[in-house]
Amino acid sequence: MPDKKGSIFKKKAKEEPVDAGNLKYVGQSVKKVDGLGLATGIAGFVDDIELPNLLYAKILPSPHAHAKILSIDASKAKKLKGVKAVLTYKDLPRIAHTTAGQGYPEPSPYDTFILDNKVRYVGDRVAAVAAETEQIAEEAIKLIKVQYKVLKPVLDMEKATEKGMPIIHDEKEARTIIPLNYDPKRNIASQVKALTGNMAEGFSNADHTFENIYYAHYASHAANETHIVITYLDGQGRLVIRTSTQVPFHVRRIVAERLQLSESRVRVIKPRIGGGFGGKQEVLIEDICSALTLKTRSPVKLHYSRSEEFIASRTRHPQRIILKTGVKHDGTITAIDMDVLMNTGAYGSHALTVACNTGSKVLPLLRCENVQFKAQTVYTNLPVGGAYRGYGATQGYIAMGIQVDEMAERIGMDVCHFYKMNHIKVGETSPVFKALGEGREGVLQTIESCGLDQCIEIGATAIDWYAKKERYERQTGQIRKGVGMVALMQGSSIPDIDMGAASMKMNEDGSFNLLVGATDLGTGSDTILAQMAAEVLDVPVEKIIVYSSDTDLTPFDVGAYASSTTYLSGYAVIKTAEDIRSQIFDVAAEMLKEKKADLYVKDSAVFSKKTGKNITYQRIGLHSLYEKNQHQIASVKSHITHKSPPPFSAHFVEIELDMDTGKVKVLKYVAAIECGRAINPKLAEGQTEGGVLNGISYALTEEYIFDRQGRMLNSGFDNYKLFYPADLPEIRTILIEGYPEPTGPYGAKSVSEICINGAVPAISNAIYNAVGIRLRKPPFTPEVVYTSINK
Amino acid sequence: MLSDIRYYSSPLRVSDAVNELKKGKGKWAVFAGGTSAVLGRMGNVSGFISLKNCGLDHITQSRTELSIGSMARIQDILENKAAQKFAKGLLYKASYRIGSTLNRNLITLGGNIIQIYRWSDLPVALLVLDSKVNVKGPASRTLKFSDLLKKHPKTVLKYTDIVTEVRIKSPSGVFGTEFITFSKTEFDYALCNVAVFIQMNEKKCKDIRIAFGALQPLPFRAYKLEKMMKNKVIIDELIREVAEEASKSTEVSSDFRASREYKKHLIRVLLERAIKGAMKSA
Amino acid sequence: MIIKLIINNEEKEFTIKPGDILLDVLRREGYKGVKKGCGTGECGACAVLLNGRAVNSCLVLAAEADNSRIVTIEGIGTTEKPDPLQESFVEAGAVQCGYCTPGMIISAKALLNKKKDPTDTEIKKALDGNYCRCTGYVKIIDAVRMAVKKMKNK
Ligand SMILES: Cc1cc2nc3c(=O)[nH]c(=O)nc-3n(C[C@@H](O)[C@H](O)[C@H](O)COP(=O)(O)OP(=O)(O)OC[C@H]3O[C@@H](n4cnc5c(N)ncnc54)[C@H](O)[C@@H]3O)c2cc1C
Ligand code: FES
Ligand code: FES
Repeated sequence: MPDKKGSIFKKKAKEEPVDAGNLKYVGQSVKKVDGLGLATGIAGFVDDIELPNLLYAKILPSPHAHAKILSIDASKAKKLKGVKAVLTYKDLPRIAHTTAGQGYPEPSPYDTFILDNKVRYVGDRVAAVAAETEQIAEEAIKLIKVQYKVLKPVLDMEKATEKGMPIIHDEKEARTIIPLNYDPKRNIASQVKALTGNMAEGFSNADHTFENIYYAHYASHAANETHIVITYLDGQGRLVIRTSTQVPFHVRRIVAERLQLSESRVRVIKPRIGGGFGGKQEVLIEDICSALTLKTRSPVKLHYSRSEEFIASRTRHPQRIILKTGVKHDGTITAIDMDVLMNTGAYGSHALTVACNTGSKVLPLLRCENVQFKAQTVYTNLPVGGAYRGYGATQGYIAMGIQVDEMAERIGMDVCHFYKMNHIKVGETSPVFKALGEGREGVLQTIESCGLDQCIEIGATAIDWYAKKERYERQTGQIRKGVGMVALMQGSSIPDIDMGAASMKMNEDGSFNLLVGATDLGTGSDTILAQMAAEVLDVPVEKIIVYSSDTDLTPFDVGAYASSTTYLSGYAVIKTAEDIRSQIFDVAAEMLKEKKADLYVKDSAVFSKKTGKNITYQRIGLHSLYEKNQHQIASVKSHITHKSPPPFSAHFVEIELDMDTGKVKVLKYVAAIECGRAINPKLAEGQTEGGVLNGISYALTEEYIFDRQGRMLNSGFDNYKLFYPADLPEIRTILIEGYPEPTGPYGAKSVSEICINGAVPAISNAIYNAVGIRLRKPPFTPEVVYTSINK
Repeated sequence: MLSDIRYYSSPLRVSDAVNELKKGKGKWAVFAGGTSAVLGRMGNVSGFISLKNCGLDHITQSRTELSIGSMARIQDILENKAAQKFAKGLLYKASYRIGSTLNRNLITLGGNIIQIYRWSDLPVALLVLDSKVNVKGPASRTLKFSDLLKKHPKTVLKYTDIVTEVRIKSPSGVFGTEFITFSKTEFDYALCNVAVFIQMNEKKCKDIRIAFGALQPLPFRAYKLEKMMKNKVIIDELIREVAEEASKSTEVSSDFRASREYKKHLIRVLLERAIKGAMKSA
Repeated sequence: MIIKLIINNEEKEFTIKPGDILLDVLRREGYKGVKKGCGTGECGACAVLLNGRAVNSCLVLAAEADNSRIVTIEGIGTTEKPDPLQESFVEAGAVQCGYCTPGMIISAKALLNKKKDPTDTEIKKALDGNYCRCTGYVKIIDAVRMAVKKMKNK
């Protein structure tokens, strides 16, 4: 029997992708490794441990959008019985940093302090308290006397750079640590420009030009588990941070830096996480909680309330996009000019990179030689933007997804056909890949897998596109229906920047510990990484004991973001498992007295091709640890990517619109997705369904409502309207198989971000199909829709 | 934790509960489903007198009326056969849209009609039915439901008063009802809701009652609109006229959930639908 | 004050304050499967069965629960002996981060205790107060259906 488990790194694998028929664990809907623990309530989240003498932390939030702190008097709070520490800006080192959990050097501006003498949005941190009970901490907060000099706030992103506007970051420390176009004196947190081709020529070749303004609005990640951290000192006085994070290693680096500790004095543990969606790619509360532990020498817990989560964690960056395009009669796109204005709120977390992604994950989808992209991110005295599933692409597809519909309509071509004709194909590249990166130039890449045509065809059939589209164009009556669609792409990892690693060791019973820095935050990455290791070693998934993540134990990984875990960390796991396999062969060769080259693995055992002799992993494990030439079979491998191959997807939606009330109801949503090979189809579907529903409620009901002072009025689940089971429309996820990505682990690409980008444009297009009105500013609440159709 | 709460008791009889309330001198409050109480929405209160051991959770139907104990949970009303059918499903429809199942298993009828918020649902339905409220206290009495809503029920009742049950007369003759609500999502507070009870005599409207919720601090009856319809032959045009008038004359204010104009528009749409729905069920 | 409860079929006595909330008491006493997502009755992560009814434990005064029977997720089943619902949630892919899962299963359990063969609408209604950001609910509804089948075949 030939060794079918040869390295997938071989050149050969590139031309002939691994045949799905040969795979045993990859491509299977294996049960989630942590599933039953979670379903029985035992798997430990941050808050599920007991520590003696735990103190409770509370933050005093700013009541003003923009103010200078003239004085703080915490003496009364400190005297309250049970209060163990009060921190104000006077007690902490003043070190400018960014809360963005990005790799070093971060492209986000250093404009934040653990505590500052200025507050920049309602909810900004003013002081922190640690006390014996939550109630005492709350009382103590109220006893802190603060005198503010209230400053005029900047509440409209479109006016932020106007002359005479107050400067939000007037502190001298505000800067970027890599040369970028940072201009805080004009409230500009980032700006980028990219140009390929010749715009004037592009537009002059067009038969039709389009120009419109589109908006994306604030949204909360609304993870079920709000931000929470517990900090304590271990037996050696080292700081331990048990936190709900997507980026444990960045937490270690950044907290150490902010508190002037050596990284060796900090340990970060990421237990089970109750959802992240980008909101936890932020080093947000770990610093202040750590400071309280260092001050009190006691364990301290800081757990955001739901209201704090809305106001004082991170949000989706709102944008205004002016999109201009030129198209020929035959559908050729001659020019695309995208001009983005983005609101980052009071701090510039992810200010540059989210804006860049609005271009880099959207523009390459369509073939066009003349492309211009401009983005300016401005500060305002409003809640802070951050990483949010989709990461700028969500915003960009609102503009592009609606305008493509407008283009196709104008030239009289079906939009499905328009996409098929214009989307990037295998073997092609886009100049945008190179022109736009993450805070630096991008990486040129050629598309090596793309199943978008099939996504479009299968999706169209599933919703009965052609018949319905035409039928719905001519309706009268109070209830109208409509269909809409959009095509999408995303990326998989940040090429040449992200690094992921895994380590693995073999136990005497033939099981393996797989330690990964990659952070499973509910996404199922522990499971798919285990599947990959299981595939290489041909052992049941249960024999792979996954642990993520602990900076003392697991190797480095940038963390869970940029759709990188499968594509990047997956490869690290494969490399590690291959090395383990090789070490197993070494031992087996000795035990079986066979040549290593003749060995292969099968069903938790090593076999000889020549003689058929075999030996189980259990025997090998025992032997290697106890019997002869004792050693630990173990390995650590890392991986970096050089590409960010995009997954592709087509979304179709059918809606019903009540003309009298303006209420839009989604009847059916079809998401056809090509993500290379789905390592675990069920988990891939689950990612998609979750992202789709999040997208739908973002399109229809989720929004931040502020008063004139910049106070959020709906910071609770009562008035920030999310979808619950009773709101669920029919959602169909179709995984398009057969397009394995040659550079991906077992042909995989990313899956979990792309799915959130389709709902707004698809629904807007469906509304157009139903009533002939273009809506370009979500959310499409009943009132907005009603008012628009009756204008 | 509710740090202000220093006292809790759960007496076995209503009269004992009344005595407890007396002892509390206005600082102790009735505790029913507790959903408002636990969220600290009850102001200056330092003790709870729970009614959980006082019974009061019956739902019984006689020939003439439906009687619901104040401690009956909203979910009980939803699941009780008699209550489901009562008044052609009016109570069912109003109960169905209150909060979530997890909430409805806690919220009581008494709490829902006393701790009234702008968007409270059941009181709107009760307003169009012939309903009475039994109150036990130092001066036990029976109130017309509409009198309970003259001002906020919490000011109509004394702190020693306990609502024990709501009694609703079974409607007779040819009648229809409808309850329509509008909100952004299923688990959401109403932006506007309307209850209609209509009694028909052939094509003529013999009697009609219309109540609105979510528009003003308290739900209210729209007597003026009712007058426009009483004893008239009901045609679409009249319904439209009434709906128009409702939209014009009803006072509502903007809030962050919806503008005044939009709410006024909703009044028109929902009332029209509700009247038609009620007629259809008649 | 002291309250007596039967939690997951075990008699328990806890010393509490009159203002204590059941959710906090349960977590304090080690029932960590009961989660807090909002504290205001709007996410369902804290759901428990109180005398057979699914309720938000964050809206229940601990004192009020005196003398009642409570079932938390820990009482539904264990990794060794999982309830069909728990198995189905795992098999159907209804568990992602798992933070909503205990509450979802509690609500589903209350439903299946009453109705052996619920319709999709009934399932959605029974779960209408359980929020999940991860799954989009599709596989959660699947899981409940799957559990219904499993229980029928038992
Ligand atoms: C998340 C959530 C969503 C909700 N959604 C809706 C909705 O959509 N529509 C809706 O109508 N309601 C809704 N409610 C219910 C809400 O209106 C009130 O919380 C509820 O009606 C209070 O009922 P309770 O039984 O819990 O009362 P409690 O909280 O126990 O008491 C409330 C008040 O009424 C007094 N009281 C209660 N019973 C009596 C009595 N028998 N005699 C004298 N005084 C009494 C109490 O002293 C207290 O002042 C919702 C509640 C929650 C928590
Ligand atoms: S924590 Fe109880 S419902 Fe959210
Ligand atoms: S699985 Fe994460 S909230 Fe439901």
